Amino acid sequence: MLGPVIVGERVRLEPARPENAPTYIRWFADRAVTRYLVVRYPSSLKQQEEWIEQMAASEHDVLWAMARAVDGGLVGNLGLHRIAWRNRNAEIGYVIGERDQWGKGFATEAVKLATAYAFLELGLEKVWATVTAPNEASRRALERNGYTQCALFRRDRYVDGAWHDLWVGEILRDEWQSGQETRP
Amino acid sequence: MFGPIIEGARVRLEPPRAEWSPFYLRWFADMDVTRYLRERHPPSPRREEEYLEAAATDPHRVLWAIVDKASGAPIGATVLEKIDWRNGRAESGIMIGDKDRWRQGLATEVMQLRTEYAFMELGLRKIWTGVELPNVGSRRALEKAGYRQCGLMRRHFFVSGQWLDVWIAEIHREDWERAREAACSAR
Repeated sequence: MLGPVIVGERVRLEPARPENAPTYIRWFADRAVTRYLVVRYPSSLKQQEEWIEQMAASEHDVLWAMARAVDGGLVGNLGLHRIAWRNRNAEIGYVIGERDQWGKGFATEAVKLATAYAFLELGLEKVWATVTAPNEASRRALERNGYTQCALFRRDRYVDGAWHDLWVGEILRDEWQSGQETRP
Repeated sequence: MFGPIIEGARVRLEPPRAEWSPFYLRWFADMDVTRYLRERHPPSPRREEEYLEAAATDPHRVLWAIVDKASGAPIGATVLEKIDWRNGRAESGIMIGDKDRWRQGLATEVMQLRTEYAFMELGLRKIWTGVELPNVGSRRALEKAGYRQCGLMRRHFFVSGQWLDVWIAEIHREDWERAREAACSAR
């Protein structure tokens, strides 16, 4: 499934489009962008377009493109994946592909919007995420939204000649609900 | 099947056109539009094309685009689906995607045209539909078009953090014919 339009203050989630494929290939060719991602190489244009079609057809994924609210410029993408309907949980994953857009809080707001969507529209009970331990920016985006560590897999990812731990975080529906009441 | 052209006073039902798919992609990306629809996600352009092709060849479905007569622009879509030929019934559905055209009575007109086609051309004897209870606009339009409640399913859909009841309604051919005769003799 592709995600519907959700407008935040800084970021706008919108359905990913096949014409975004060349941009995704550029991002995934950049090792700085993919350093802490599972996929570390670009695919062909055809494969990239096919992936977007697979996401659109899947009952277990929701894929959004992440655009700047101010001018619509593409900065990244975000998805709810492995949606387990029977157990009502999903994995959230995202990338800010434009390096000059790092550190501007886009991921934090995008995670906030997608997490609310997961609980309010999909009716899930839990959203979880994995982050390669040194990727503090990504982990903070989750923690700012109430995700807390539930596991730490040791020496789980081999990146740039070194082994890294894998941080696993999650947020439950009732934790999210009480966070909505206390946070402004 | 695609539905044939049916002229109303303000709207026209037309066979859907592939070149209108950008409208549908935009509408299905809008959670205000899809709030009370069964499909709440935008298709990719390819899937929209496949959907149209599948509808065109499906003998259990009639799909129309709703077009604004004044401008010729598409403003939504309507469907008779799950047509059960043996038992003479179908489920109806409608979307007004253009939010500027909400609350103008256009859905009522679409439903009247659709119902007349279902009874007079397809020879069906009953049309039914379900509407989430807070969707007052759609429910009023159905009531004005002659649908009557026949059931209420509790806590049936999860939308915007809440479980919603579904109002189930139907229109029977005999009731529709009687109402039409009454309207004619009153005139």
